[in-house]
Formats: sequence, structure tokens, C-alpha cells
Amino acid sequence: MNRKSRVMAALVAGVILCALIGWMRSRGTPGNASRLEDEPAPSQPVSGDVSNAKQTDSLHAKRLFELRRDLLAATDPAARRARFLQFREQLHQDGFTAADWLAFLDSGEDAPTGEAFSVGPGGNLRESPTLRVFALDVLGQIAPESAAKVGLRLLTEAPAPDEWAIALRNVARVQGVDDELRGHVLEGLANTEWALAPSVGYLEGFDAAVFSASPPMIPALSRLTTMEYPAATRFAATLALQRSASQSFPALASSIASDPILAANPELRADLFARADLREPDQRVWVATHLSNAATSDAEAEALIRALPNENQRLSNNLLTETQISPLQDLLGEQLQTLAVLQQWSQDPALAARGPSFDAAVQRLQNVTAQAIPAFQRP
Amino acid sequence: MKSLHLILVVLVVLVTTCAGWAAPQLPKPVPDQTVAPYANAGLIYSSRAQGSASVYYNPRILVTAGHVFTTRGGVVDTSGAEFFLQYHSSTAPARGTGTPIARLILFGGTNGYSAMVSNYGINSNEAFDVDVAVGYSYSDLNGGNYSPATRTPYSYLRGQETKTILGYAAVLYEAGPYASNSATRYWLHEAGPGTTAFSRVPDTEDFYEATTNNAYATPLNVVSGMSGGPVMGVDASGVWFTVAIIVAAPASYYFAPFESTGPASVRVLGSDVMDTLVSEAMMDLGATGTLALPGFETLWQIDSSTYYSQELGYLAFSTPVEPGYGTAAAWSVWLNSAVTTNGTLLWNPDYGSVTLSGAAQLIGTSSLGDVYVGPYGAWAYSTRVGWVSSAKTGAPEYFYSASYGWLYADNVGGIYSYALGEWL
Repeated sequence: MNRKSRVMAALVAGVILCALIGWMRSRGTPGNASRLEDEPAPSQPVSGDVSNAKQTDSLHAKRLFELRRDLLAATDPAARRARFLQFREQLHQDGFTAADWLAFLDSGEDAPTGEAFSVGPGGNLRESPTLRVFALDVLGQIAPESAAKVGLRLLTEAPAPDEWAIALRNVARVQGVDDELRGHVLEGLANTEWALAPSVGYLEGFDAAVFSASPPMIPALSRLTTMEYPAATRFAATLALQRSASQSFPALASSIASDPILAANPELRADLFARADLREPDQRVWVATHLSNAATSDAEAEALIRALPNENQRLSNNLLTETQISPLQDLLGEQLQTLAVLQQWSQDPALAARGPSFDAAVQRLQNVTAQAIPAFQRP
Repeated sequence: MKSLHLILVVLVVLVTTCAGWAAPQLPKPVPDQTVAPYANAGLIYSSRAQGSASVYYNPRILVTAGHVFTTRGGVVDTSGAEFFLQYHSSTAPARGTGTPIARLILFGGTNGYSAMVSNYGINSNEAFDVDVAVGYSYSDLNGGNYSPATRTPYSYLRGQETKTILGYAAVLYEAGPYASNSATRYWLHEAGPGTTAFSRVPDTEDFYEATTNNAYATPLNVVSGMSGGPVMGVDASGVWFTVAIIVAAPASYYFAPFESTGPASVRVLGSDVMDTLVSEAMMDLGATGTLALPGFETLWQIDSSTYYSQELGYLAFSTPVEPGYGTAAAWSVWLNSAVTTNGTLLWNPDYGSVTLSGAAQLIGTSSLGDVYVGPYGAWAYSTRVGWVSSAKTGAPEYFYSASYGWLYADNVGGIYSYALGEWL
């Protein structure tokens, strides 16, 4: 047998072996009879680490690289998307494991999928723009611990902005908020190149700033609300500031009050201060102090008082946080107590300069709460 | 020069005529705003803007456009939001006389932070794609009536079924051909009915515009002020339903006699809106559509076992802002016909007692006993005040007196009372 024949024989043997493995898998041999059932589909997240997962299946890894090849070869975006959709639809039945996805991620290879970056319920991606983002998303669902480790490694290297966002999600899901996470969030927010040409994934990554809200996030976000940045970045930064203030006002109040960029944007700062919960004594003090400060313009004070209590929210799917909408009965309670506070403040000499604004706000809150009367049984 | 001008005008007329351009069909006042399909529409105001809205899906829910409440800086200002159902006058409504909207929530889209990925800001297609807001109120907005939703808004819009679009056409009276006619300035207007099909705007999911090769051939032209108004459809049995809301008139149609007029661009009320905004509102309002404020019910259908002492009944205290910061001028409120005079009122031993400093006044009755309010002298007990029963863990509770306003008790040890306009 010459060299050529030996190579041919080896190839044929390899093909036969692969076919045999595939046939056994499809039949469900005793050795792995429950394998497909035990291995969750990527869309059905379970806890579990790669150490508990089976070893990388070379066939699956091979399929990922074949997919990558096909995606790169597709010249038509529609064809690329169709190819990826075909893969996606089969994924539920194919039993990919964490090790398969890790192997692909470790390769450093990538390809566009033809999809957008789209967040679905629970912060899982509905669509992924690249194969690597898809792999990170799936890994985050089926093996959170491994996904967090990979995420941390990515964040210390030079991630693409979409990968930065999904890595932050994966890390935050496992280790919660800590200085390490905050540091990586701030690094991304400070990346001027990303901010000037924002990808959808980068903007969605701002949710990690809300999730890890802390005083340093305020200047990092407020910087991105200025006209130096495109509307999309400004919008995302504004929304992140608003959500942060709604969720963590006491921790952020000092930074909001002292931030020079917010001082130059009184409309936004009023919006943020109006997110204080006046049922809480410490938050009342913050708002009263801000209103009594001579440096707070009449226009800002008027906007702030007019918006109290500011429960305005945009409902959306986010990578990490869920928008909290308080029950209507709580809102009524908050409105009633805000009304009481404003009535008290309207008599406070230290806040006398804001008097007309108080009067209008009191009238407004009286109107809205009085409307609730018919809903109740009268004495 | 004059003849040149004339030639130019003639040329424009010729070109537009040859191209099939017709005079725009402007929205017109509706014949009777109290009947279908108009009866659920109304005027909506915020502190800074005016728009249109309609009662949708539930007697206490309305739908409108988010941009009515959004500044260019992205700040949402819903303060002072009030709804004027079937508003119909030559003059603007007096503020404070409409139905206040308890809460407005805006749709953030699938991707909340990147809802405006375009650099064109709030007038981008992407922004219009999420330009929906749902408001809800503490009481019915139209006497229990509302416009139903449809499960097939997309196919209805895309097809040539009958549609009509409603809203308050403010701009027509500012710079348009109706400027000299103020009688109908604050009347509900209608664009349609028409059968024009709509098509999806590229790069969006739910933003549709009226499809036409002739800017004004369609009767479905809208103007500023109609934002948030409903696009109505009608089924085979003649029942009208809401398909979408108006969010824009394409700026490209600048052949209009004035700005902001053109074929309607609308935001479909699809499953994403139902799954997020409407379902959130329904959760707050209760699945039946009745306002879920069980605390008040509980208070008036009082179960004596809830409280530490049936004899003393329910006792609440009122101080400015904060219980526990007792002041001599505060008042008490309780349910017990036996305690109506001055003196020390024993309470839950955990919390001590209070001393009434004046005669109590009857403000109502309950199944447990009469409801009184009266002054007390000082906090003679622990600063921890609260329910008579320490087992109280439920939701905040409220009750109302026509004379004394609201009384409100939370579940963490605070009981507050507020008059509408003054402290008890």
C-alpha cells in the first residue's frame, strides 16, 4: 500500500467511524440513551458548569466551524440569515454542550449571523449579530459559571462592544455587583470610539450600569448625554441615568447633585431628582436641600416639583434589570404622601421661593387622588 | 418677473396634475363624537403638550403616542396628564377639569437602550417604532366603554379594509385652511374613512405608513395634534376596534400646504404592546378591569380578628408627613363608638396609649363601628406606631371621608391621613 492509498484508507475509516458514531447517537445507544434528554436545549437554561458537562464532541465543534464557514461564504445577507436560522431551529435537537461552545469561543473565530442584537424576556438574546455573541448567550444560559469565567476573561482583553455587553450580563448573573464588575462597566462607558459609533449591543450594555449603579456611574453616564455623542448614545445614557435614579436614588443623590454636566442640564437633573421617594425621610431631605439651594434655578425647581412623584418608566426587555412598576395602590399612597409633603414644604420658609410651583403641584395631586374616590365605598 | 412667477405657478399646477396630484384631503370634524367609532377618543394634555388618545381594551386604559410626553432630551414628562373624553368645543378645555391619568408608561421596545439607534433622534423611524404610551386611571374613562383590540392588526392594516383615523387636528387651526374657522377648533377630527393599505417602514417592526403613489390621493392624511389618536377598523358586524395609533406624518411630503401634514404613519398595537404595556396596566387594575385597591374594602368590611382589640377597633394616627414624629397638633382616627370623648385611649400594650385632647367627631360608619376623628395631645407611647395588630402585613389601606379626605395606612408601622387640601 503506497502512501496515497494509506491516506485514502485512513480517510475512509474516519468517515465510517464518524458515520457510525452519528448513527449510534441517532439511535440512542445504551451508553448515551438519555443524553439528548439530559442535555438541555440552549433555550432552556439550567444551572451547570462545564466541569459537569461531557467532553467536547468533535462533531458538534465541527458543525460550529462549518456553520461559521457557511456564514462567511454567504454573500447575500438574506442567505446568511437563513442559514443561521436553519442552525438555530435545529439547535434544540442537537445536544450541543457547554464544552462545544467553549471550544468555539476559545478558537477566537467568528462570523456575522445576519441577525440584529435583540434582547428578549429575561435578558436572553432573541437575536445575535455574530456567532460569538450567540455562543456567549447560549453558554450563559446552559452553563452560567463557565460563561462568567469566559466573560471575565473577555472583559480583561479587548472585547468587541457587543461581546462586552453579553459578557457583563454573564458575569453579573453569577457574581452580582462588585467592584470588578463596576470597573468593567466603567471601562466600556469610557470607550469613546464605541460611544461615537454605538452598536446596539453596546447601548444595551448600559443596563449593566443600572444593575451596578454607584456614584462613579453618574459622571460616566452624564458625559455621554452631551451633544458630542450621537442621539442613540445620548438616549441610552439618559435612560440609564433615569433607571439608576429610580432604583438607587439614595446612593446616587450626592453624585447627581454635584455632577457638573447634569448641572448644565437642569431638565434632566430635575427628572432624576423627581425620582426620589418622598415617603423616605432621607430622600425627602435630599430633595428639600436641592430645592432650597439657591444654585438650583427656578426652572429646574419648577420641573422637579411638577414631576413629583416621578414614576415614569419605559418598559422594555433588558439584559440584567427589570423595570419595576409599583402597584397602583402603592402609587396612590405615594401620591397622597407626596401631596402631604408638598403641602408642608409650601409652608416652609426655607422653600418659600418655590411657592407657586408647590401650589400647582398640590392642585395636580389633589385632582389625581380625588379621582380615586369613586372607586371606594363612601362612609 | 411677475409673468415668470405666473409661468412657474402654471408649471407646478401642470406637473402636479399630470402626476396625479390632487388637493389634499384634510381631516374633517366628525358629525357626532358621542357615537361609534368616535366615542372612545378624546383630547389628552400633559404639562407641556397636547395630543389625542382613546380608551382602549379596558374601561380604565387609554393609549396614545409616547412623544406627546417626551422632550427632545429624552425626558418623559407626564405630569398633569389629563384626558378629555369626546372633547367638543370651540375653546380649549380648562386644565384641571379632565380625568387625571394616574400613571403613564411608555413602551421601550425590545431593546430599551437602543430604541433610538438612528442618529435622527425622536423623529427617526426607530423612535416611532416604540412611540406608544399607555395610561390608566383610578376610574372609568368612558363609563365602562372602551374600544376593543384586534388580534390581526397587521393584516387589517396591510389590506384594503375600511379604516378611519381620529384625533384633534390642532395645526389646521393655527396655520392651515381652517385657521379662520375657530368654531370647530377643539372638535374631534377624522381622516377617512378610506381603504388605503399600509406598509411597514423599512428597519422597523411595527411602524407603518399609508401606501400611496400620490401623496394626497389617500383620505388618510393626518396633521399635528392628531398624534396618539386611534386608527379604527370595523368588523363584518359593524363593531369598531382599534388597530394602531397615529405617530407621524412623513416629512417627505412637503408639498403640503403647511408642515406636518401627510399620509398617516402609524404604530401598530401589536402583541408587544399588549404583552408589555397593556398587561402591566391590567395587572395594576386587576384582571376584571376594576381598580384593585383592596385595602379600602378591607377597612370597611373589617374583620375584628385582624386587630389586637375588637373593643378598641382600628386606630390610626395622623401627623404631618411622618408618624413617630408626633406633634401636639396631630389627630387620631379610630373605629369605635365607645371612645368619643377626651381622655387616655388605651391601645395595643406594645405601643402604649394616646391622650385625646378634644371631642371626637363622627366621620362615618363601618361594620365594626362608627368612624371618628379627633385631636390628641401628645404621643405618650413608643415612637413605633402602627396597626393595632402587629400581625398586619397586607397591602396599604385607604379610606375616604367626604369631610376629611383620605386616610392611608401602610404595612410597616405607619398610618397617615390626609385631607384633600389640608391636614386632618
